[in-house]
Amino acid sequence: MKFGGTSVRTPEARMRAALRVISAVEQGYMPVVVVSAIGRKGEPYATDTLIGMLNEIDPSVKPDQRELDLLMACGEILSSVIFAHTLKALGHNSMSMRGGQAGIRTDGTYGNARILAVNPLGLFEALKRGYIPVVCGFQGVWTQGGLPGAELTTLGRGGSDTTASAVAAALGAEAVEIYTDVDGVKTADPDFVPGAPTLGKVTYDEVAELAYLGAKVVHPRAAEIAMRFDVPLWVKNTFTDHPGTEVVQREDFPGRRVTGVSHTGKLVYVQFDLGCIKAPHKLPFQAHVYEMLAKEGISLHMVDLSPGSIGFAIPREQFPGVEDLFDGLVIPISDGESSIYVLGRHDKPTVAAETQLRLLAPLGKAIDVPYVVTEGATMVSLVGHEYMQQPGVFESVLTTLHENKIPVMQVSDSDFSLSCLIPESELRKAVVTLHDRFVTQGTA
Amino acid sequence: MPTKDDDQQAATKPFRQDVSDRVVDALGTGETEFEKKRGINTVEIRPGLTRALITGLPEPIMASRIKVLEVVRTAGVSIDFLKFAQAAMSFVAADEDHKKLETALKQIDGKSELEKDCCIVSVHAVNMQDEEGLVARIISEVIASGESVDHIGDMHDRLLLVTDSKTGDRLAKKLRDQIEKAASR
Repeated sequence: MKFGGTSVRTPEARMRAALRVISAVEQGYMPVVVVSAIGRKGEPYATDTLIGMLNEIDPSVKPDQRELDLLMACGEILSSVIFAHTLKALGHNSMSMRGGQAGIRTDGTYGNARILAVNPLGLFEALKRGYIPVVCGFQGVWTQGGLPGAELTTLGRGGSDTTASAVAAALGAEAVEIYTDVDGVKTADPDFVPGAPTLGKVTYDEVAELAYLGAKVVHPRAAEIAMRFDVPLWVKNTFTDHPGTEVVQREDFPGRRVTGVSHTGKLVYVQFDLGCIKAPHKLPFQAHVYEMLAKEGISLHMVDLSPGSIGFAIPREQFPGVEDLFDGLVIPISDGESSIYVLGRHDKPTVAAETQLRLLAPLGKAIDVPYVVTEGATMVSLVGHEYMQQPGVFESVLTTLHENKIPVMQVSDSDFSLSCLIPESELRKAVVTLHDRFVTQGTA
Repeated sequence: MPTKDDDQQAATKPFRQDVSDRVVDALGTGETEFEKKRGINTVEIRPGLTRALITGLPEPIMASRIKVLEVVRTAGVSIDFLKFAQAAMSFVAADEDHKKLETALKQIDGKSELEKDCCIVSVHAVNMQDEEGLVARIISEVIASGESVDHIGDMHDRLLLVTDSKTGDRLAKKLRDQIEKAASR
């Protein structure tokens, strides 16, 4: 049973969560609990608040990731001790366990460690002694060969969900239950579609794709582990008695035509017209641009790679870094004929780009490569199984958006989804419209 | 730490599963690998596709694109990898629909080109979006391989690249070689 931040943020919430655990015990189960850090952004013990304490010392000094891992793990440690004590106060033996004590061994990638193995011996011992183990989510240990002790590592995004799935798989648990503040997996964000129904069943693939495309459901890493080890996974609400959503293997569920509508956060769309790049230089130019984006750790969506242009959407918070990177960037290419390409924003010429062009002008080989930036973009997606393979899906989606005067800048699709890049200002309308057309009315 | 009394107390509790068996099992089998390795895991090829490029579409462009899609749908052809460009669009369909597509696209206000025998190269990489820069790294490796790719799509666990079959085979081989190289490091 995994309880997220909202389920452990207040004493009342923790009491509700603890009573769920006790109810499981009373039904004859031996629950193992996994908890996230207490509270969300801005609250006293939330992960962001802890990191903020380091930034307060000197924001210009970047903390080491190893130190950050130790700090970030405190939120879950605190949460697990408080939760275990809540259970004890309710008359049940309980013990908090750090990730390492629960047997979670990872690689040495601080901040985004991969779970290599889980040895559940400690958990079994605790269960055997009648204790309810409360495991800190989001953390494990890296054992370096020959060195005493073990290094604490954190698991990155979705770390607590991943902890729950891995622990459940290692224990051979009957199920893993992810408790949150919604009734289960919804067909759309309830903030946009308040009446969005809760799905009774979804497949691991669907839930992973929904999460990938922005829905706040189970993290794909957790779904992947549960799928590989065939552990039934449930998403439930700590605060209601709704039965929740069961996540199952694809062969165990015939599926539905459309699973739901999801949306990502704020994006910026960047396009390069390669018309000014000499033909033999096009590939090296593109390779250079993507190599730089990779080095900077930029996440890409809606990648358009064609002989005449490059286009990609990036999260808005990463855009300032990309803009700094591209502003006046000089890419010299000498494949046969040599040229020097200078990047600059099309709608906002900058001193850096103009200076580079002026300095390189005497060489006679400098070519200005303007790129077009569309800020205020976002992505809305329709997720489903076989419906995505039907003739006319693109037409239906684009017609629906077009009739509602929602401009579509680019589209992208996969086996399970169809996504449209739209202005952020139209997001709510797009989600409501697509949900109404394809989920509420059906797809016929 | 638990005490002896706790042990006795626990022994009286109802157990849904036999814990002691599980402990033996855990000791006997050792540890299990849980998460797949980061980065590219496998490369697969899905052949048998026709690529369509439509150019010279008149304004208003979105209405023209929808008209093309309507024609394609009426012909009963399912498409993937729709991409927009200035006054243009492109997509792929199954090779078996090539004839139907050819006939249908004669009705549109624009020029169409069809290329048979294309494929999708699926590059599998777990947890792709959370691995910052991974998508860009795969694309830069694809471009650096010198093989041309016409379209790119993505899912939670894979990048999908559309290209002609010969290029697809070469590209898949190069990417698989890279996986082997990375594994031997």
